[in-house]
Amino acid sequence: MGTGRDKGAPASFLIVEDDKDALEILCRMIHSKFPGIEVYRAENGKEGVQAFREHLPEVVITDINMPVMDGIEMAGIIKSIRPETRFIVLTAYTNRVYLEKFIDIGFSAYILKPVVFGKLFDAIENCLAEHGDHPADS
Amino acid sequence: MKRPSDERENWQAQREKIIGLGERSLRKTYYPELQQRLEELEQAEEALKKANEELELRVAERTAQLEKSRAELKAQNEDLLRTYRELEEETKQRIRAMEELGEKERLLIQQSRMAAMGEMLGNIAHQWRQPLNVLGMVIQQLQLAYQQGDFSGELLEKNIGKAMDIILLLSQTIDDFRDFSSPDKMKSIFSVKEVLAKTFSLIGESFREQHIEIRTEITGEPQIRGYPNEYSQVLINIFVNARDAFVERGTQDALLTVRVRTKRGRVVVTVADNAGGIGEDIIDRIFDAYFTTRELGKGSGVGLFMAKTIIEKNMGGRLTVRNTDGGAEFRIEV
Repeated sequence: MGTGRDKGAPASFLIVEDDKDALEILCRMIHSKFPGIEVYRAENGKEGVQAFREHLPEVVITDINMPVMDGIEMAGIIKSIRPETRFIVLTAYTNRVYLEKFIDIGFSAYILKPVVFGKLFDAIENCLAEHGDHPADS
Repeated sequence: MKRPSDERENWQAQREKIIGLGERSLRKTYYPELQQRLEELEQAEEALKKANEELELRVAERTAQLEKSRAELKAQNEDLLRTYRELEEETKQRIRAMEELGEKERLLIQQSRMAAMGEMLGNIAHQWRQPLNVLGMVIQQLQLAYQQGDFSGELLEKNIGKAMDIILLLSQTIDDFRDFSSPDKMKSIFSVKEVLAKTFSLIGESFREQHIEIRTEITGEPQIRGYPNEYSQVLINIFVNARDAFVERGTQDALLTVRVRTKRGRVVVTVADNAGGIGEDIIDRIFDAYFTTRELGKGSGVGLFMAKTIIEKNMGGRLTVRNTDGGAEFRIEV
C-alpha cells in the first residue's frame, strides 16, 4: 500500500486518549500484546494530527471526546491526509450521537468504555488481517 | 195653716235679711260675672285641650322620628355586621391563599433541589465513566501480565495503588453528593472557596465534556454565614444555565469566569459567560417562577427563581444579572 513508508515495515499504531492513565495502560498493553507494532501516542486531536503526519500509522485508536480537538474532527483531517487509515473508536455509551458522526468518516470497530481488552485485541487483529500485514501474535 | 208661697217668701226674706240683697239685686249683680268666669273656664279648658292635642301630636311626631332613627341605626348595624362577616371571610381567604403560597414555595424548593440533584447525577454518570474505564484497565493489566509472564510484585503494588486512588475518588463523589442532598439545618460559616471547589467536583465534568473553560479568580479567603448547600445549589443553577447557553448557541472558546472578592463586608461572587447575553425583552423575567426559554419538558423554570429565593430570602443577600460585552453576568452578594 502507498503508505509512504518503507515496504515491509511493521504496522504502526497511534493511540489518542486524553486521560493520561488510560493512555499509558493502553500503550503498554497493546505493546505487550503486539510486540512487533510501533505504538505512538497523543493526548488530544490536535496532537493526534501532528503525530499522524509525523509517523503515518496504519491504525488510529481514538477516544471521541477530548479537549482542544475532538476525535471526529481529527479523524476527518487524517482521512484527508490518507483515506485508507483504519480507525478503532473508544467511546462511552453516552457518546452515541457523536459516534453517528464518526460513521460518515468510517471506522473499523468501536469499543464501548469501560474497555474490555479482549474485545479491543480482537478489533486490532481484524484491522491487521485487513491490512494483510499481520505480525506474529505473541 | 201656712201655704207654700208663704214659705218661699219667707226664705227670700230671711236671705235678704242675712246677705243684705234681695232677689232682684242678686240676679242683677252676680250673673254677668259668673257668666264671664264660666266663659273663661271654657276657654281655658279649650286651650288645655288644644295644648294637650298639640302635645300628643308632638309626642307622636317625636316617636315617629325616634322610630325612624332606630330603624336607620338597625340598618346601619346590619350593614356593619355584614361588612364584618365579609371581612372575616376575606381574611380567611387571605390566610388560605397565604398557606397555599407557602405550600407552593415549599414545592418549588423541592422541585429545584430535585433538578439540581438530577443535574449532579447526570454529571456523576459522566464523571465516573473515565475512572471506571481506567479501573477496568488496571485490573485487566494484571491478568494479561500474568498470562504473558510479565507479572511482578512491583506491577501488582502499582496497580493496586492506582485502583485504590480511583476507588477513593469515586467514593468522595458520593460523599459530596450525599452532603449536598441533605438540607442545611442551620446557618454556618463556610468558605466560598471550598463550596466552589465542591460544586465544580460535582458538575465540572459536563463543562469539560463541552470544552467549556472555567477560570476562577479568588481574592483572599472570603467566608459567608449561611447555608452552604443552598449556596452551592445557587451556583449550580447559574453554572448550568451558562453551560446550556453555550451549548445552545454553539459558542466558540466558551469561557466561564468566576470572580470572588469581598466588598464592604459582603462577599461578592460574579459569574460571567461569553455566550452572547440575555435578550433585553426577557432579562427582567428570568428570575420569575416557571419562566423558561427552553422547550417544554427541558427546563423547569424554577432554577433561577429558587436561586434568588435562597440568596435574598434565606440568606439576606442579593442576586442580580446584567449583560456585559460578551455575555451575561450574574452577581451574588451575601
